[in-house]
Amino acid sequence: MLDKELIAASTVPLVLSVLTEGETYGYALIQRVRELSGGKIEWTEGMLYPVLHWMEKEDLIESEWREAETGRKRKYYRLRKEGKKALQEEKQQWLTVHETLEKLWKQPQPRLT
Amino acid sequence: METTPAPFDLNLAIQQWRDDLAKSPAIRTESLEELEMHLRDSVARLQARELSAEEAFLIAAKRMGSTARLGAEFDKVNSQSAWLDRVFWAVIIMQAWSFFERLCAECTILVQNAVQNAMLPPGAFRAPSQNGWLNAGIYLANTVIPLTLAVFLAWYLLKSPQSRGRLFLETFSRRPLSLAIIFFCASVTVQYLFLISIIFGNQGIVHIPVRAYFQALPSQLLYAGMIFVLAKKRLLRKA
Repeated sequence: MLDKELIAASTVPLVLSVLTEGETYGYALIQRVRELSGGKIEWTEGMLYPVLHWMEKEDLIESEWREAETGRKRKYYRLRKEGKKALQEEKQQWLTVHETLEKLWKQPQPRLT
Repeated sequence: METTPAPFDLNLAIQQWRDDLAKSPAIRTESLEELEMHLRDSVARLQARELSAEEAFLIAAKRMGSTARLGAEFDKVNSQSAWLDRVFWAVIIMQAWSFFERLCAECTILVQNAVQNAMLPPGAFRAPSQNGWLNAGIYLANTVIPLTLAVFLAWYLLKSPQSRGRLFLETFSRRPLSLAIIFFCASVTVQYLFLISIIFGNQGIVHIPVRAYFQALPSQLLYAGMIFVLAKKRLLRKA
Protein backbone atom coordinates (compact mmCIF):
# COMPACT_ATOMS: atom_id res chain seq x y z
CA MET A 1 0.00 0.00 0.00
CA LEU A 2 1.62 3.18 -1.18
CA ASP A 3 1.78 6.35 0.83
CA LYS A 4 -1.38 8.43 0.25
CA GLU A 5 0.56 11.53 -0.71
CA LEU A 6 2.70 9.63 -3.14
CA ILE A 7 -0.43 8.26 -4.79
CA ALA A 8 -1.90 11.76 -5.00
CA ALA A 9 1.30 13.22 -6.48
CA SER A 10 1.68 10.46 -9.04
CA THR A 11 -1.92 10.44 -10.30
CA VAL A 12 -1.55 13.20 -12.89
CA PRO A 13 1.71 11.92 -14.47
CA LEU A 14 0.29 8.39 -14.51
CA VAL A 15 -2.90 9.51 -16.26
CA LEU A 16 -0.97 11.60 -18.79
CA SER A 17 1.42 8.73 -19.47
CA VAL A 18 -1.34 6.15 -19.97
CA LEU A 19 -3.05 8.53 -22.37
CA THR A 20 0.07 8.59 -24.57
CA GLU A 21 -0.80 4.97 -25.36
CA GLY A 22 -4.01 6.17 -26.92
CA GLU A 23 -7.38 7.48 -25.85
CA THR A 24 -9.23 5.64 -23.14
CA TYR A 25 -11.97 5.94 -20.53
CA GLY A 26 -11.84 6.11 -16.73
CA TYR A 27 -12.42 2.46 -15.89
CA ALA A 28 -9.88 1.20 -18.43
CA LEU A 29 -7.35 3.74 -17.16
CA ILE A 30 -7.60 2.43 -13.61
CA GLN A 31 -7.27 -1.16 -14.83
CA ARG A 32 -4.19 -0.28 -16.87
CA VAL A 33 -2.45 1.36 -13.92
CA ARG A 34 -3.30 -1.58 -11.67
CA GLU A 35 -1.97 -3.98 -14.30
CA LEU A 36 1.27 -2.04 -14.87
CA SER A 37 1.97 -1.73 -11.16
CA GLY A 38 1.29 -5.42 -10.52
CA GLY A 39 -1.63 -4.49 -8.31
CA LYS A 40 0.44 -2.22 -6.06
CA ILE A 41 -1.22 0.98 -7.21
CA GLU A 42 -4.89 0.72 -6.32
CA TRP A 43 -6.77 3.96 -6.73
CA THR A 44 -10.06 4.58 -4.97
CA GLU A 45 -11.89 4.40 -8.25
CA GLY A 46 -14.33 7.25 -7.92
CA MET A 47 -11.53 9.64 -6.94
CA LEU A 48 -10.04 9.49 -10.43
CA TYR A 49 -12.93 11.48 -11.83
CA PRO A 50 -12.45 14.77 -9.97
CA VAL A 51 -8.81 14.57 -11.14
CA LEU A 52 -9.87 14.00 -14.76
CA HIS A 53 -12.33 16.87 -14.38
CA TRP A 54 -9.56 19.14 -13.12
CA MET A 55 -7.17 18.05 -15.86
CA GLU A 56 -9.80 18.82 -18.47
CA LYS A 57 -10.38 22.26 -16.95
CA GLU A 58 -6.63 22.88 -17.18
CA ASP A 59 -6.82 21.88 -20.86
CA LEU A 60 -4.35 19.04 -20.41
CA ILE A 61 -6.83 16.53 -21.80
CA GLU A 62 -10.04 16.62 -23.79
CA SER A 63 -13.04 14.33 -23.73
CA GLU A 64 -15.70 12.96 -26.02
CA TRP A 65 -18.85 11.00 -25.29
CA ARG A 66 -19.13 7.84 -27.33
CA GLU A 67 -21.57 4.98 -27.40
CA ALA A 68 -20.36 1.83 -25.63
CA GLU A 69 -21.24 -1.76 -26.52
CA THR A 70 -24.01 -1.70 -23.95
CA GLY A 71 -25.72 1.18 -25.70
CA ARG A 72 -24.96 3.61 -22.91
CA LYS A 73 -22.61 6.52 -23.39
CA ARG A 74 -19.06 6.50 -22.18
CA LYS A 75 -16.61 9.40 -21.85
CA TYR A 76 -13.33 8.92 -23.65
CA TYR A 77 -10.28 11.05 -22.91
CA ARG A 78 -7.29 11.94 -25.01
CA LEU A 79 -4.14 13.97 -24.55
CA ARG A 80 -3.89 17.55 -25.72
CA LYS A 81 -0.82 19.42 -26.86
CA GLU A 82 -0.65 21.21 -23.50
CA GLY A 83 -0.93 17.82 -21.81
CA LYS A 84 2.04 16.46 -23.73
CA LYS A 85 4.06 19.48 -22.66
CA ALA A 86 2.99 19.06 -19.04
CA LEU A 87 3.92 15.38 -19.20
CA GLN A 88 7.45 16.27 -20.34
CA GLU A 89 7.80 18.61 -17.38
CA GLU A 90 6.51 16.00 -14.94
CA LYS A 91 8.89 13.45 -16.44
CA GLN A 92 11.85 15.76 -15.85
CA GLN A 93 10.85 16.30 -12.24
CA TRP A 94 10.30 12.62 -11.48
CA LEU A 95 13.53 11.57 -13.18
CA THR A 96 15.45 14.18 -11.19
CA VAL A 97 14.12 12.80 -7.92
CA HIS A 98 14.62 9.22 -9.06
CA GLU A 99 18.22 9.73 -10.21
CA THR A 100 19.16 11.51 -7.01
CA LEU A 101 17.67 8.78 -4.84
CA GLU A 102 19.34 6.10 -6.97
CA LYS A 103 22.75 7.68 -6.46
CA LEU A 104 22.21 7.75 -2.70
CA TRP A 105 20.96 4.18 -2.53
CA LYS A 106 23.79 2.86 -4.72
CA GLN A 107 26.43 4.17 -2.34
CA PRO A 108 28.04 1.36 -0.39
CA GLN A 109 27.11 1.38 3.30
CA PRO A 110 29.99 2.40 5.59
CA ARG A 111 31.35 -0.58 7.52
CA LEU A 112 31.97 -0.25 11.21
CA THR A 113 34.77 -2.69 11.89
CA MET B 1 -45.04 -16.14 8.76
CA GLU B 2 -41.70 -15.26 7.18
CA THR B 3 -41.84 -13.47 3.86
CA THR B 4 -39.09 -14.02 1.33
CA PRO B 5 -36.89 -10.94 0.87
CA ALA B 6 -37.39 -9.05 -2.38
CA PRO B 7 -34.95 -10.16 -5.10
CA PHE B 8 -32.02 -7.82 -5.58
CA ASP B 9 -32.73 -5.24 -8.26
CA LEU B 10 -29.41 -4.05 -9.71
CA ASN B 11 -30.82 -1.12 -11.63
CA LEU B 12 -32.74 0.08 -8.60
CA ALA B 13 -29.65 -0.18 -6.41
CA ILE B 14 -27.58 1.77 -8.95
CA GLN B 15 -30.32 4.38 -9.25
CA GLN B 16 -30.39 4.80 -5.44
CA TRP B 17 -26.59 5.06 -5.35
CA ARG B 18 -26.74 7.70 -8.07
CA ASP B 19 -29.51 9.66 -6.33
CA ASP B 20 -27.38 9.64 -3.20
CA LEU B 21 -24.46 11.10 -5.16
CA ALA B 22 -26.73 13.63 -6.86
CA LYS B 23 -27.42 15.20 -3.46
CA SER B 24 -23.92 16.69 -3.67
CA PRO B 25 -24.33 19.94 -5.59
CA ALA B 26 -20.68 19.81 -6.63
CA ILE B 27 -21.26 16.77 -8.83
CA ARG B 28 -22.78 17.76 -12.15
CA THR B 29 -25.03 15.61 -14.32
CA GLU B 30 -22.19 14.87 -16.71
CA SER B 31 -20.03 13.56 -13.87
CA LEU B 32 -22.94 11.52 -12.51
CA GLU B 33 -23.31 9.89 -15.92
CA GLU B 34 -19.64 9.06 -15.98
CA LEU B 35 -19.57 7.70 -12.43
CA GLU B 36 -22.64 5.55 -13.08
CA MET B 37 -21.07 4.17 -16.26
CA HIS B 38 -17.93 3.33 -14.29
CA LEU B 39 -19.96 1.55 -11.62
CA ARG B 40 -21.75 -0.49 -14.25
CA ASP B 41 -18.47 -1.47 -15.91
CA SER B 42 -17.12 -2.47 -12.51
CA VAL B 43 -20.21 -4.53 -11.65
CA ALA B 44 -20.12 -6.27 -15.03
CA ARG B 45 -16.46 -7.14 -14.50
CA LEU B 46 -17.15 -8.61 -11.08
CA GLN B 47 -20.18 -10.55 -12.27
CA ALA B 48 -17.96 -12.09 -14.97
CA ARG B 49 -15.93 -13.48 -12.06
CA GLU B 50 -19.01 -15.34 -10.85
CA LEU B 51 -20.12 -12.95 -8.17
CA SER B 52 -23.83 -12.38 -7.74
CA ALA B 53 -25.32 -9.07 -8.81
CA GLU B 54 -25.70 -8.00 -5.18
CA GLU B 55 -22.13 -8.95 -4.24
CA ALA B 56 -20.77 -7.26 -7.36
CA PHE B 57 -22.71 -4.09 -6.63
CA LEU B 58 -21.56 -3.92 -2.99
CA ILE B 59 -17.91 -4.34 -3.90
CA ALA B 60 -18.05 -1.97 -6.86
CA ALA B 61 -19.80 0.70 -4.79
CA LYS B 62 -17.23 0.33 -2.02
CA ARG B 63 -14.40 0.70 -4.53
CA MET B 64 -15.92 3.91 -5.87
CA GLY B 65 -15.40 5.64 -2.56
CA SER B 66 -17.82 7.30 -0.20
CA THR B 67 -20.35 9.80 -1.47
CA ALA B 68 -19.14 12.40 1.00
CA ARG B 69 -15.54 12.13 -0.16
CA LEU B 70 -16.48 12.24 -3.83
CA GLY B 71 -18.59 15.32 -3.25
CA ALA B 72 -15.76 17.00 -1.35
CA GLU B 73 -13.20 16.24 -4.09
CA PHE B 74 -15.44 17.53 -6.87
CA ASP B 75 -16.20 20.57 -4.78
CA LYS B 76 -12.49 21.33 -4.44
CA VAL B 77 -12.02 21.21 -8.20
CA ASN B 78 -15.07 23.30 -8.96
CA SER B 79 -14.57 26.06 -6.43
CA GLN B 80 -11.08 26.90 -7.60
CA SER B 81 -12.09 29.10 -10.47
CA ALA B 82 -15.74 29.57 -9.55
CA TRP B 83 -15.56 33.32 -9.07
CA LEU B 84 -13.92 33.87 -12.45
CA ASP B 85 -16.57 31.74 -14.10
CA ARG B 86 -19.31 33.76 -12.40
CA VAL B 87 -17.95 37.01 -13.79
CA PHE B 88 -17.71 35.45 -17.24
CA TRP B 89 -21.34 34.41 -17.00
CA ALA B 90 -22.31 37.95 -16.05
CA VAL B 91 -20.47 39.25 -19.13
CA ILE B 92 -22.06 36.56 -21.32
CA ILE B 93 -25.56 37.44 -20.17
CA MET B 94 -24.95 41.14 -20.78
CA GLN B 95 -23.52 40.37 -24.21
CA ALA B 96 -26.36 37.98 -25.07
CA TRP B 97 -28.94 40.55 -24.06
CA SER B 98 -27.20 43.30 -26.01
CA PHE B 99 -27.05 41.01 -29.07
CA PHE B 100 -30.70 40.07 -28.68
CA GLU B 101 -31.80 43.65 -28.23
CA ARG B 102 -29.83 44.79 -31.27
CA LEU B 103 -31.42 42.05 -33.35
CA CYS B 104 -34.91 43.05 -32.21
CA ALA B 105 -34.28 46.71 -32.92
CA GLU B 106 -33.06 45.97 -36.44
CA CYS B 107 -35.97 43.62 -37.17
CA THR B 108 -38.38 46.23 -35.87
CA ILE B 109 -37.07 48.86 -38.28
CA LEU B 110 -37.23 46.45 -41.20
CA VAL B 111 -40.75 45.22 -40.43
CA GLN B 112 -41.98 48.70 -39.61
CA ASN B 113 -40.85 50.02 -42.96
CA ALA B 114 -42.24 47.04 -44.84
CA VAL B 115 -45.63 47.47 -43.15
CA GLN B 116 -45.97 51.17 -43.74
CA ASN B 117 -44.67 50.98 -47.29
CA ALA B 118 -47.32 48.38 -48.00
CA MET B 119 -49.94 50.73 -46.59
CA LEU B 120 -48.93 53.80 -48.54
CA PRO B 121 -50.17 54.31 -52.09
CA PRO B 122 -47.42 54.08 -54.71
CA GLY B 123 -45.50 57.31 -55.30
CA ALA B 124 -46.41 58.78 -51.94
CA PHE B 125 -43.71 60.25 -49.80
CA ARG B 126 -42.18 57.62 -47.58
CA ALA B 127 -41.22 58.79 -44.15
CA PRO B 128 -40.36 56.89 -41.01
CA SER B 129 -43.54 55.80 -39.32
CA GLN B 130 -45.06 58.25 -36.89
CA ASN B 131 -47.47 55.69 -35.56
CA GLY B 132 -46.32 55.00 -31.98
CA TRP B 133 -48.69 52.08 -31.50
CA LEU B 134 -47.50 50.40 -34.67
CA ASN B 135 -43.87 50.80 -33.66
CA ALA B 136 -44.53 49.54 -30.14
CA GLY B 137 -46.55 46.61 -31.42
CA ILE B 138 -43.89 45.58 -33.89
CA TYR B 139 -41.11 45.91 -31.32
CA LEU B 140 -43.05 43.78 -28.87
CA ALA B 141 -43.72 41.13 -31.48
CA ASN B 142 -40.05 41.07 -32.44
CA THR B 143 -39.04 40.68 -28.81
CA VAL B 144 -41.74 38.43 -27.37
CA ILE B 145 -41.85 35.87 -30.17
CA PRO B 146 -38.13 35.02 -30.28
CA LEU B 147 -37.95 35.13 -26.47
CA THR B 148 -40.84 32.68 -26.18
CA LEU B 149 -39.24 30.40 -28.75
CA ALA B 150 -35.94 30.54 -26.87
CA VAL B 151 -37.60 29.69 -23.55
CA PHE B 152 -39.50 26.81 -25.13
CA LEU B 153 -36.33 25.50 -26.77
CA ALA B 154 -34.44 25.74 -23.46
CA TRP B 155 -37.22 23.88 -21.63
CA TYR B 156 -37.28 21.17 -24.28
CA LEU B 157 -33.53 20.68 -24.21
CA LEU B 158 -33.22 20.69 -20.44
CA LYS B 159 -36.33 18.85 -19.26
CA SER B 160 -34.77 15.41 -19.27
CA PRO B 161 -31.60 14.96 -17.19
CA GLN B 162 -30.42 12.36 -19.71
CA SER B 163 -31.11 14.47 -22.74
CA ARG B 164 -28.37 15.10 -25.27
CA GLY B 165 -29.26 18.77 -25.10
CA ARG B 166 -28.39 18.92 -21.44
CA LEU B 167 -25.08 17.09 -21.92
CA PHE B 168 -24.22 19.39 -24.82
CA LEU B 169 -25.04 22.51 -22.80
CA GLU B 170 -23.08 21.28 -19.80
CA THR B 171 -20.05 20.67 -22.01
CA PHE B 172 -20.42 24.17 -23.40
CA SER B 173 -20.96 25.62 -19.95
CA ARG B 174 -17.45 24.53 -19.03
CA ARG B 175 -16.13 27.14 -21.40
CA PRO B 176 -17.62 30.48 -20.35
CA LEU B 177 -14.68 32.32 -21.87
CA SER B 178 -15.43 30.89 -25.31
CA LEU B 179 -19.12 31.71 -24.91
CA ALA B 180 -18.34 35.29 -23.91
CA ILE B 181 -16.15 35.71 -26.99
CA ILE B 182 -18.76 34.10 -29.28
CA PHE B 183 -21.52 36.40 -28.08
CA PHE B 184 -19.30 39.43 -28.34
CA CYS B 185 -18.34 38.59 -31.92
CA ALA B 186 -21.96 37.81 -32.82
CA SER B 187 -23.07 41.15 -31.42
CA VAL B 188 -20.46 43.09 -33.36
CA THR B 189 -21.12 41.11 -36.56
CA VAL B 190 -24.88 41.69 -36.49
CA GLN B 191 -24.36 45.37 -35.87
CA TYR B 192 -21.95 45.92 -38.71
CA LEU B 193 -23.78 43.63 -41.13
CA PHE B 194 -26.81 45.84 -40.79
CA LEU B 195 -24.66 48.91 -41.24
CA ILE B 196 -23.23 47.49 -44.46
CA SER B 197 -26.66 46.43 -45.73
CA ILE B 198 -28.03 49.90 -45.09
CA ILE B 199 -25.12 51.61 -46.81
CA PHE B 200 -25.24 49.41 -49.90
CA GLY B 201 -28.92 48.51 -50.02
CA ASN B 202 -30.59 51.65 -48.86
CA GLN B 203 -33.15 52.89 -51.32
CA GLY B 204 -33.80 56.05 -49.40
CA ILE B 205 -36.61 54.40 -47.49
CA VAL B 206 -35.11 54.87 -44.12
CA HIS B 207 -32.74 57.47 -42.90
CA ILE B 208 -30.64 56.20 -40.06
CA PRO B 209 -27.69 58.38 -39.27
CA VAL B 210 -24.52 56.37 -39.66
CA ARG B 211 -23.21 57.71 -36.38
CA ALA B 212 -25.98 55.72 -34.65
CA TYR B 213 -24.02 52.57 -35.43
CA PHE B 214 -20.93 53.86 -33.77
CA GLN B 215 -22.78 54.81 -30.61
CA ALA B 216 -22.32 51.26 -29.38
CA LEU B 217 -18.57 51.33 -29.91
CA PRO B 218 -17.63 52.54 -26.39
CA SER B 219 -19.71 49.84 -24.71
CA GLN B 220 -18.29 47.24 -27.09
CA LEU B 221 -14.76 48.31 -26.30
CA LEU B 222 -15.66 48.11 -22.62
CA TYR B 223 -16.94 44.55 -23.05
CA ALA B 224 -13.89 43.54 -25.05
CA GLY B 225 -11.62 45.07 -22.42
CA MET B 226 -13.47 43.28 -19.64
CA ILE B 227 -13.24 39.92 -21.38
CA PHE B 228 -9.53 40.43 -22.01
CA VAL B 229 -8.72 41.41 -18.44
CA LEU B 230 -10.71 38.51 -17.00
CA ALA B 231 -9.25 36.03 -19.44
CA LYS B 232 -5.64 37.21 -19.13
CA LYS B 233 -4.87 34.65 -16.47
CA ARG B 234 -6.41 31.82 -18.45
CA LEU B 235 -4.91 32.89 -21.77
CA LEU B 236 -1.44 33.28 -20.25
CA ARG B 237 -1.60 29.76 -18.88
CA LYS B 238 -2.11 28.42 -22.38
CA ALA B 239 0.99 30.22 -23.68
